[in-house]
Amino acid sequence: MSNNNSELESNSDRIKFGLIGTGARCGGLSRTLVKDPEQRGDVIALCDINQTALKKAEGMVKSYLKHGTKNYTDYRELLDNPDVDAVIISPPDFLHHKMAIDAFNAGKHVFLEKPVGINLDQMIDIVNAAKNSGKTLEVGYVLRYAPFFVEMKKMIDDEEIGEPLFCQALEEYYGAYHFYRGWWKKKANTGGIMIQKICHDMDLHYWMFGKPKKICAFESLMNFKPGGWDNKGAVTCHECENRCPYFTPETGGRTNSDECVFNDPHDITDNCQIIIQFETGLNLSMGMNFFNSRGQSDRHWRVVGSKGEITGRLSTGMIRYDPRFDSTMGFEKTKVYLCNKPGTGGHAGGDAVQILEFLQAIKEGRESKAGIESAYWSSIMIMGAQMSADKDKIVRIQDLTDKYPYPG
Amino acid sequence: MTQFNGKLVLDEDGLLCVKMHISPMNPELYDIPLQELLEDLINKDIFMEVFATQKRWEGEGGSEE
Ligand SMILES: NC(=O)c1ccc[n+]([C@@H]2O[C@H](COP(=O)([O-])OP(=O)(O)OC[C@H]3O[C@@H](n4cnc5c(N)ncnc54)[C@H](O)[C@@H]3O)[C@@H](O)[C@H]2O)c1
Repeated sequence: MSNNNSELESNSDRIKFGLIGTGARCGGLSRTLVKDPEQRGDVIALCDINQTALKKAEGMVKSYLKHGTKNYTDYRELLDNPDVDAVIISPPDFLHHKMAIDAFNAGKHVFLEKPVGINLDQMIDIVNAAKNSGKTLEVGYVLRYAPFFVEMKKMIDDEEIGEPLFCQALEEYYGAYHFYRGWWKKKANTGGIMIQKICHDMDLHYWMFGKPKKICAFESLMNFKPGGWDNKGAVTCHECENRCPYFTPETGGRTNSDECVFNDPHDITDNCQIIIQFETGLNLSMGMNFFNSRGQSDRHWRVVGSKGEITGRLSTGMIRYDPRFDSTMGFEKTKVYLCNKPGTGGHAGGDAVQILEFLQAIKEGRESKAGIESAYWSSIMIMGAQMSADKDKIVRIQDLTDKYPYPG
Repeated sequence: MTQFNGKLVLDEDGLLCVKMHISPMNPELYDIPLQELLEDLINKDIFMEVFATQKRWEGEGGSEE
């Protein structure tokens, strides 16, 4: 452990945070925290095994909060610090399980980046630890706070489309840069691309449509494999004679690696389709791929109800509503709603809100929006989907909830 | 492809303009003439779909106010 004693001074009324895994994601989250106009939170401790990441976070705290931090390379030492009230846990996914459980056992409130562990055994341990600790859990399901989805949820709850009957969702993500280079590229580190990437969407589906009944999924590796780009088998960018759009320099970049996204071995897939039937009978399909063109990186949603239909693309922040029974047979009754105020920030506006909601939930001693219920059901769905793809069978949700009961 | 949104207004010279942001970093709104927004498409076959929009957040009315 090292610290800047001379400058270590923080405001005692604030909720004191320790940040564990001070990489890319933690930077975004903690900047919102330190810029909170109501100054509800403070950052007093940092932990990362990488000194560069640690220094960067330390610099950020100094520049906004004008004080130093206690810095650790072992997260257990940070958890032993009695001054820390709450932690943000944002290391690679396979570390979430142990760190989250240890944090709850140490009596800390926990903001846990998604996913909630990398399989159902890990998820149930985490939600049980959260429940038993009585502390607040918030999962990094930031899209629950994006105005686009907040408004969509409101429209559904207010029955603007009547009863929701059908849903189609698509995520296209131009993320091969890091997904086939960094820790993401091994299934053992994430549980698979469904769990890593579309656990967000499952959380939104549960939030909007309730409990699922059965689920089936397919995934495959169609493009990010040898032959996906004509480069004579080069396994790094620096030896490649035919640069692809995913070219990166040998050092630097998000993963500090220039492994070829096509030829370097990885065991995650690049696309999937999931079909879910909910208890209401609503059928939903959700697709995802990594080989989209850059201009199409987005989430597309369509929800069809008994009285109308809503569609939209997250990046536009607009939801189009079409009434089902429009006697004009034109578009006269179509409405287009703008959801994002100008200047909406990262994750379609969710980043500016979520961590502050977590602070408020701690202050009020209540569960937060993306808390235990959201952690449990989103994981049942996405890990059920992964199970379906792995075992090539339809997964009945009742079988999962019998084996992994909701914390009592 | 051209895509924009904002309030449709007439400027002092009577030109049809869209009052819009020109970059996410710049909070100012500018009146951009439709002519300017569409001139790259002159003499091309185009597809256009235009809707009035409504804001979903509180404190400001939509374009139907
Ligand atoms: N909610 C979202 O939208 C969202 C977006 C991006 C990432 N994430 C999640 O955030 C987490 C981090 O992702 P990232 O993109 O910041 O990755 P990253 O690789 O940039 O950061 C991870 C950091 O954890 C550190 N680390 C590794 N092992 C550690 C250990 N034993 N102790 C302490 N620190 C350790 C690494 O050195 C690195 O600095 C992941 O779980 C990811 O799924 C969520």
